[in-house]
Amino acid sequence: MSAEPVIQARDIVVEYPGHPPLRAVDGVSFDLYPGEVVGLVGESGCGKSTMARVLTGLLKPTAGEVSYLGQPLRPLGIGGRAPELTGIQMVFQDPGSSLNPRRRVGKQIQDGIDTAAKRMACLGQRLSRDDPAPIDPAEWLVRVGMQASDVRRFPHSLSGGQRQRVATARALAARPSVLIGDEPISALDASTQAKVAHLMGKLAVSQGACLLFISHDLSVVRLIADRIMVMYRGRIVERGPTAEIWSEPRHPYTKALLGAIPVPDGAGKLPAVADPGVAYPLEEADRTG
Amino acid sequence: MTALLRIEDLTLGIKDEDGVTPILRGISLDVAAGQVQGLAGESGSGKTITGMTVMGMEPAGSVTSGHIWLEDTDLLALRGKELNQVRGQRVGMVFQDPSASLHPQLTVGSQLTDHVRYHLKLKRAAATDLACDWLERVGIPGGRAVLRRYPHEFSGGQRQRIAIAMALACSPGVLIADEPTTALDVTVQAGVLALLRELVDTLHLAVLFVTHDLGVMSAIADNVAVMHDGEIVEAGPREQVFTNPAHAYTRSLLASLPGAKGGLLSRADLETLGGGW
Ligand SMILES: Nc1ncnc2c1ncn2[C@@H]1O[C@H](COP(=O)(O)OP(=O)(O)OP(=O)(O)O)[C@@H](O)[C@H]1O
Ligand SMILES: Nc1ncnc2c1ncn2[C@@H]1O[C@H](COP(=O)(O)OP(=O)(O)O)[C@@H](O)[C@H]1O
Ligand SMILES: [Mg+2]
Ligand SMILES: [Mg+2]
Repeated sequence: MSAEPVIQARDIVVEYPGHPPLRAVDGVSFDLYPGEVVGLVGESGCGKSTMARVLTGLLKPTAGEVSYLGQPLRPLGIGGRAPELTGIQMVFQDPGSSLNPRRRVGKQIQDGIDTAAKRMACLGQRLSRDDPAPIDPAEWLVRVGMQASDVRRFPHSLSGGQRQRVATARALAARPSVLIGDEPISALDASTQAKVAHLMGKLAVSQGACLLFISHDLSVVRLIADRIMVMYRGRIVERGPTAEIWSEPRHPYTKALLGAIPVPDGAGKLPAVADPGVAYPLEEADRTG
Repeated sequence: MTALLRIEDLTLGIKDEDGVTPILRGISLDVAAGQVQGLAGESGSGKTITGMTVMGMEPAGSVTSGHIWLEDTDLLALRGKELNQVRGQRVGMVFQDPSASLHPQLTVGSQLTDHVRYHLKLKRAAATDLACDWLERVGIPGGRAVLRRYPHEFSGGQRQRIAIAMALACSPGVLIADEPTTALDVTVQAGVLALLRELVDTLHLAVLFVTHDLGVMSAIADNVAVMHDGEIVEAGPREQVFTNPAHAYTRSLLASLPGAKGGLLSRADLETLGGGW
């Protein structure tokens, strides 16, 4: 990869207090580059959301360090997010909970635009009409496949897929260099999942941002991600270009995961069942050579 | 093949102050013993309400017409005690969220044994034996000790297996399964699907299987019906519906899916998707 990474995560460990403490993330390192779509996949409880919270500065890791644009990421203080951190934006699973039910959609997208303006002001820059990202909420709505007139609507009158489009518009209007989607399509109808996922990737990349797409649905991730990282019990056990992982998974856990996906081909074939008692190795699969 | 469950021109509307809102507009389906009838379609199309109505659990204010034949009994005509006897004993149900069928504060054993004692009028010892047999059958190891445990002590997949045992313990002929694997991880889902298929084959159940996941549908259903706005727009044998869909709505559904015939196979295909819903 040519450019500098936007995010560098090094040896991240997160333990939640308890007796004994629960190690949710167990030594994870990766880099994210501008303009790429990276899928982070794995089953529920493997640590994906915990990792996302660390990357956004919402959670301080027990050990390890994240740097953002070459600077160590300072976790969120009492004063809220430092303006430079607004370059990392998130879209969550449930768009209902992240949008304000009492504010019109247009106003909420304007919040995103204002966030970008504030951050750029800190850097002595200004938003301009010539930029690839619109500075008008109505234009954003059109870009995510809605109507300009939808600016006046309230979130409750929108379908789940439309709300997720609005949440995506608001996040991207803040002109992040990293967009993190934590299961952003899980609550949507099957027929709109691929559309919304594709839209997130395409728009993020078109403005030079990186999309980290967290999901347990590999069949959609497969279509939109350039690279995939497979997480199991707090570790990344396999990573590589999507097509290569798909055609030749090497880690036994990746194989089990891919084998369990039911294919909508009408063949009436039950997916392979793995032994429920099996514990997979925690070492990352070697994909060199 | 004769149908064990026969839904005939079922309509359902929900009455409120403004009148009656139509929800189901004439549903007809035949499900034979040993067959899984899949029910797909977008959110709000009426899949859950169809299953709930077979179970005699339609929403308050429902106005229905048509017939739901279970052998010679019209379930739609039953009321009160008669309906209670059928529900749970001749028709079992499994939901997306197993906590809908399992009480969090009661042990698994007491729920299973109460259920079979009520419907099958068994003595305590016989009910306990039956409960144990069922837990073993659905793949929950541990024998009698398991009966003393509470639902939260089990994983999501195990809870769904216990809910399946509850639904089948009185040997119903019909099982309604509404998104039974949607909340599970794919590897866990694979195990539950295999279990369900084995139970259908050995117990000759007639199953109405609701899911919007067409991958799951393709794995388990023998016949597939696709609903849209309270109507069945397409119905037929699984392979035919998946590989040669007759209705434009079914085609658009398949076209939006990764891995389906005519569906999304590569990133380039995503570009062909419209902005519509
Ligand atoms: N208790 C209720 N009272 C009034 N209307 C209801 C009730 N439950 C459902 N509906 C309406 O009936 C229609 C069908 O709902 P249903 O739950 O059967 O959809 P579904 O196909 O199962 O959707 P999903 O895939 O989202 O589960 C919807 O328009 C819904 O809003
Ligand atoms: N706030 C928390 N306190 C304690 N444990 C937590 C908390 N959040 C998550 N966990 C635990 O950490 C592990 C990883 O969780 P999470 O990151 O949410 O996984 P995923 O997003 O992959 O499903 C799980 O065992 C979960 O129960
Ligand atoms: Mg999560
Ligand atoms: Mg439903």
